[in-house]
Amino acid sequence: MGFENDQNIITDFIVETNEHLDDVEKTLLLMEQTIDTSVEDVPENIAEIFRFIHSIKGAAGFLKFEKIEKVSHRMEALFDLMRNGRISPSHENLDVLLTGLDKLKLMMEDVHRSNEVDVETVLEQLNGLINTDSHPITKPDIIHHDSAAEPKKTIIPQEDASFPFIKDDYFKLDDVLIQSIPFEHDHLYLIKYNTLELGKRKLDILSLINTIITTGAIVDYNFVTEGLDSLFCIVYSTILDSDFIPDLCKIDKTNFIELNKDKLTQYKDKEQPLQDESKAKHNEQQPKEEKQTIHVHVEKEPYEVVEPKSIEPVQKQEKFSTPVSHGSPEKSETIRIKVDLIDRLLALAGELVLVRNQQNLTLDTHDDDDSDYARMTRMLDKVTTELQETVMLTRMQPIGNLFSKLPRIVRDVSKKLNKKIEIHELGGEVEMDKKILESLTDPLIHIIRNSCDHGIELPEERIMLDKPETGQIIVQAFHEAGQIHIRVIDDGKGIDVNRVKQKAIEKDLKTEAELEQMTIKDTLSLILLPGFSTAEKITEVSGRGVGMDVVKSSIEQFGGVVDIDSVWGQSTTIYIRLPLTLAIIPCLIVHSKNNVFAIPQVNVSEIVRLYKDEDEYVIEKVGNQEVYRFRDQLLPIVRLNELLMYPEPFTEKVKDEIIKKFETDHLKARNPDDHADTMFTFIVVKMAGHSFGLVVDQVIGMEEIVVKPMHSKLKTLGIYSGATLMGDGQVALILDIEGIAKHVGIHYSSILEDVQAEAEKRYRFEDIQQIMLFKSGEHETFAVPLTLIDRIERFEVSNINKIGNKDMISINDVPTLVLRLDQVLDVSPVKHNSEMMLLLPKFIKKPVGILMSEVVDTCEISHEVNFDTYSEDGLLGTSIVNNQITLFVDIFRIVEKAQPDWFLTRQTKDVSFKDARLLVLEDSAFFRQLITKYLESDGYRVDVAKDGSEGLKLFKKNSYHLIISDIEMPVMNGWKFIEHVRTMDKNIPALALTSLYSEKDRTKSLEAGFNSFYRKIDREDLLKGVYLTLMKSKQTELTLS
Amino acid sequence: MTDPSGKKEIVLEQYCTFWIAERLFGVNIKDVNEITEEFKITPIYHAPKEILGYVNIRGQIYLVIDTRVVLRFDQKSPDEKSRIILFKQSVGEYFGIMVDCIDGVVNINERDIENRRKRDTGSPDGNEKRVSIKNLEKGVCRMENFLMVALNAGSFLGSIKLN
Repeated sequence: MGFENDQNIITDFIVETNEHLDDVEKTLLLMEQTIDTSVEDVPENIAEIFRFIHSIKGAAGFLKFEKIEKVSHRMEALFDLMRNGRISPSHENLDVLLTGLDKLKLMMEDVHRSNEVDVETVLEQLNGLINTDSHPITKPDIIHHDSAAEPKKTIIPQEDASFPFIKDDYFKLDDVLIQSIPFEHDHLYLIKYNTLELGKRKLDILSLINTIITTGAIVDYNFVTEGLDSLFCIVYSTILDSDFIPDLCKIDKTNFIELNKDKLTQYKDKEQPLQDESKAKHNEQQPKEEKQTIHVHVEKEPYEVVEPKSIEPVQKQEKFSTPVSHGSPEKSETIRIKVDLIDRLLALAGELVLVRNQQNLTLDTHDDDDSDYARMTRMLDKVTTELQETVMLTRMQPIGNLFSKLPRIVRDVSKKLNKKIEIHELGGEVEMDKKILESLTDPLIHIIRNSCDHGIELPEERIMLDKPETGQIIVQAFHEAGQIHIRVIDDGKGIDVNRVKQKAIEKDLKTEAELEQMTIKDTLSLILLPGFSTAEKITEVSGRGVGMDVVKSSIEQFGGVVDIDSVWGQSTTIYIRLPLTLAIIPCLIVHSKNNVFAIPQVNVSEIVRLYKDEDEYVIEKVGNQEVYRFRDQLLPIVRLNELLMYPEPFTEKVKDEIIKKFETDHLKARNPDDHADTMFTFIVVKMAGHSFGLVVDQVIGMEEIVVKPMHSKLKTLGIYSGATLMGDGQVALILDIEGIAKHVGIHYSSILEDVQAEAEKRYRFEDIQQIMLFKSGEHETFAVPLTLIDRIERFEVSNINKIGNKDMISINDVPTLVLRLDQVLDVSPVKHNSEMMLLLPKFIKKPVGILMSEVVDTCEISHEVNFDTYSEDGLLGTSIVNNQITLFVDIFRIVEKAQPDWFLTRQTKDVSFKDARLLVLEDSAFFRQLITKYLESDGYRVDVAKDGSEGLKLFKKNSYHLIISDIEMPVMNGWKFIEHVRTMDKNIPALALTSLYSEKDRTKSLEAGFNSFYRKIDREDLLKGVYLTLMKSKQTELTLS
Repeated sequence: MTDPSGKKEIVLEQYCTFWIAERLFGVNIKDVNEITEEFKITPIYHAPKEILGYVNIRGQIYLVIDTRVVLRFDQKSPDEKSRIILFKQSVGEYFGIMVDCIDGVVNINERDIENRRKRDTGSPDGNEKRVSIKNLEKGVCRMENFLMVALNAGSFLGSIKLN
């Protein structure tokens, strides 16, 4: 390789190429999305990615990365065809292009070995597409004159039609490049170097370029292979006459030609009117379109000029800067700086701040405010602050850079798995330190892959589960409590807690007894342990033996935390919190034990100062926890001074010790002269919805501080999140409020629950319903909600007595009707075991039991029962429970079917209520469906709402005859709801239907505005109530009219 | 470093020597970044007892290790003679050690450093604390009037025990 010594160029190449590849990928994915909607819009984007690929090709050739060059060359050709509308971007084409792109990415990972990569398949695929076009790519594409809208222009030097050395390549100069030629550069040359020959002549092309750009500018460059030779061609603009060129460029006369620059300008003179006087002087013109491209075609055939237009030399445009930079206009606003340089800058800015602070201190003592010295100090102060802040910002990068990689991953994975998945990225503008961002990449990708693979179900499954066919993944980033929060939510099948438990036992991680004690969330977090994977099969996508433990360790490595939560059947949420290092955050500065501490402002909600002589100074005890009654809320009190003395997490003994200490202390402090003790200051600190009071000695004030990470030896200390430097140069520690809460053992339910609550609003996560699974016949599994079961009785088959065609049994001396499901439903006959069981339902007035052969299990289901797929009369619906189709039995209905005469009273109801419209409020999906079904079976029209606020909306919109509402609901409960309703409508009958049935609740409900109160859920009672209520209101209506 | 027991030609190294509890110690001067009188040390509660705290050296926060604790002498608060030796980043993440007072810089031949560890292997006192000191001690060097214990700067951070 000609320039192997120059690692810098290669580094630049890698960085730039990767950037280009990212852009190309983004555009390709965008094209794929819009492909079906607007085939017409595409060329705009293609022109841009064409340029990227073009410059990758060029640079790769220059650096002799042949395989990269080859692949990019073919891709470029394909883009070119697309750009010219010869082939349209189809799914197939894009697939191949993406494959090519991946190959390039792969090779870029280790460029030095890129030539070993096998690219034949990709090349063939690309060639396949190229050849489907009637114009083979080996021919340069000449754009014909036929369309005025055609934006491509071709400029051909006429002088030397047989310029010998370039066969099938061309330069593509877009107008920006042409414009960038300084106007005084009268001459434009095309120069060729044979890189091999240069090597022989011991000439270094870089130093050559350095020489020639002293007297001109390189407008464009390109690489061409000719036989065994590799040619480096440049378009060079200069004021020098052609006589000087051989000497300057160290080439002989055959290796360059002059392009007629005047010709170019001349063309545009003809084509376009002058727009601006000053520009007219320079014979310049404004291009009509921004993105015009001018091609310089170089080929053996005679050159031909086709509709040239608008070349505008501009005097002070960017010049050619480095051989690899291929300036596109928007890129010129950024430059690349080495990170360690920025780090150094940051350190220096920090030192400057300290010098400034010291100067401020001397100012305080020896100068008055108006002196020059004071003014200069203030200036220095201001400038320094701004400098520091600015430098700080240089390290921050938006997380969007990382997010933008995700759609591609989701696309590929979902294609591979035949799933339909959409990903939504929120909060891409959240900035974080570059280093953290980089270390976040792999874990986040892993999580996303997991969600696609294990979370989101196949479309068919989803349809079966009554979920939208397309799975959703939401990735969201936001700032909170001085940390960066990222959460990934998918609405897939969730994590089966039971399987996690099983696995934990299998792997000897936990005993059954231990698991009993653990909350669902704790159990789920077992997944984060090494070697723990619940995936049954290892898939190519996510199960390469790498588990979530890798995610956990890499995030913890830089001080982050991973949490996991899941609703089985509904969703999984992975929650990541990351520290903000290198950020400036406002903090409250406090003193404790003569030391300075900083509390991030985001954690501070208010400062409370109590005086002992006043009544409010009452610190109470709850167990061994000090609390303060703060606006109707019990605020746990933590004393910072004490906290600092106990390096180990608080045990009950420690808590006892502390509380004892202050009991006696309170007594001693009665002495009114002792000021420090008569005042009691605490900061109400909050983290994710929870608060506690942190007692400090003294509050100093707010200050903007620079967060520095803790020394790696001290990362295990939970109570600090970092350190900072104060104005006087002293080091202060930043307190980690959440860490403190953990250390002292205030047990708040975790941050995750709040997140979940929020997610609930968005996703309608359904409640958990406990059901019992049982069998009657050989095949079917039935389910009944536990709430509808009174009890289960075991008995011997021989105890059943036949009375007529009915089976009866005596249970506690009560003759009870035995109901066989196969009598009322189309199911397999009851299997007779020696011992049978009888399910005695609640709310059925007469003694009846359902015969069961076996109780399978009780379990929790969290998803809706599908009431539509299989609905025989007597069934509520079906659902998949533990991978089995389960029939949900409608107990009331089957009893009704078996004994219609029991229900005669209600069935004589007035038919005129058929059109009554009812509003039902119920947060539990299961009950919502159940109630609706009952009401609809009696002929009412039913609208449902999940909570009070939804109910209110419906109530305002429509008119109803009756309201039935649950009491306990999220967002707005039933009491609040009915209070609102009563402000609008005093007369509408409203029934409370709830499982709260204490006298107090009843009174409260009636006071709030309900007319009556029903237990959840006695079908007969409710339906009768509805009927009677409607009857009554109809009568009042009649009397009123 | 040259093998101290090896019979090679003289390798002269400069050692920065200092006193702790009336004993002379030294660290290779190549590891030393600077020596400071800055004593505004911020204590870090909950940190292991080997750690005195944080100190700010021109905008950079250094961890200060209490050498007396590490070497198992009685603790003593710093006085006007006390200094902090700050080490280079190559030795370990920003840290320094508190010493009673600085003695000076001496040229010593690396092969004059006698490795006590080698002779010590049979010592019944094989508990872990001892081991960590042994890693820290490179060996003993005979000076004109004293014995100087050469310390491995790179082993200080490792001698901090985390809970």
